[in-house]
Amino acid sequence: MNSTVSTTKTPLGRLAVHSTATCSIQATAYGKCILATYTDVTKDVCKEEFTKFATCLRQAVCHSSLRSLPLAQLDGLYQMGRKW
Amino acid sequence: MLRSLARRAAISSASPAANPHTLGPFQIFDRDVKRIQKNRAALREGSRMVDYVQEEVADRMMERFMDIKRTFDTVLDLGSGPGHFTKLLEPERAKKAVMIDSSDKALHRDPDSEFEVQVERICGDEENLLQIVDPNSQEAIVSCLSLHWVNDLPGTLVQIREALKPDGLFLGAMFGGDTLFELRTALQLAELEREGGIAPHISPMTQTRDISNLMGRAGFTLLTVDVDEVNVAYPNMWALMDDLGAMGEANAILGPRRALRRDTLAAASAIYSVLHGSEDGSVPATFQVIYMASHLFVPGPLAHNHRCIQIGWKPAHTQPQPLERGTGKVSLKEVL
Repeated sequence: MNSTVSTTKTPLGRLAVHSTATCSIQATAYGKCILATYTDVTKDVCKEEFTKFATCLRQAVCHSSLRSLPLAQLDGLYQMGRKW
Repeated sequence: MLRSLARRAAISSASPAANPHTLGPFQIFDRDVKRIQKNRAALREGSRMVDYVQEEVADRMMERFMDIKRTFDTVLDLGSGPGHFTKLLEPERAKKAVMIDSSDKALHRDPDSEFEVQVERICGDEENLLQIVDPNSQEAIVSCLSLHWVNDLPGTLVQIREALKPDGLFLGAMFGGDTLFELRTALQLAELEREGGIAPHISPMTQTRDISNLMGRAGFTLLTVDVDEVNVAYPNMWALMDDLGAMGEANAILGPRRALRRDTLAAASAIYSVLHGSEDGSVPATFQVIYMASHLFVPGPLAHNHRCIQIGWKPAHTQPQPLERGTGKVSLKEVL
């Protein structure tokens, strides 16, 4: 099914691409960790796996954005970085 | 910008005034936010591209409508949206359709030329049906995928029954039960693991078994309730959430809401793929549809059909009635 929004233009769209494609290995590792414990999930039970996933995401988002974005949008990117 | 507006609207929207026609004080959804979401969704460029679920369900509902061998002068489409069901109405079965929806933009999204029957559009709240139409005035009321945003479902069903003429027909479809359970579980697991608690992001859904009770309580007779599923495969969780927003089906639960944090969303996306994903990399989403009908005689094909429709008929003297207590002539003792 086609998505209505171009997935690479908005910050959330970029996150979508990176979380499913660029960092798919780390995402799967995290997902499998949850799957192993999903009847008894507590906070930070898969912290280690998520940290790796999040590190990959941050690198992917910053790396690709800095190269492809015009300067005017960097400000917004900075704000987005702080939300993490 | 739009998103921040939506958030502000969600927060600043005052809780709706008490509805004189409702039976209970239950307020689950923010109807103002829902109207804003639907208006915005209808104005979106890709609005027609995300009609696939509504069109599929309207199509299945029309199959059930066609099983009823009767012609109508007017059919009232409650919560019509742009008229997914009304577009399928044929002039031989109904002369005119009245579409009612709280979202003005959705109501007027599609031009009259796309409808085969004459249409009239009324912008009004589905929860206050009796303020829009007179009691005992409608031959048939249909509702296609709108009742799942109604706060007071028992009260709305009572109003539908009141608005119907004796022996009038009610045919409805609403999301219920296991709708979007994949997204619900993925978000809950992600929030639990990342933030240590959960918040409501997916509406509470009506269970199938409750619908027949609700219909009976509202005074409908000769009920038929059945369940059907529409399964859609999406490339990933983000595409599903995008499409839900574009359909105007985004979260509209009443109360202070907090946007999901981005790392929680990323975590949910990972969990969704591993927990529910298919082998080809896509992720499934289930839309469970409850159909309800109250109807004089349910024709044969329906009985063999495992799908679920809501049909409801308003009681009338011409309908088959149970006999008075004590008037039985056959002794069950002898039969058994």
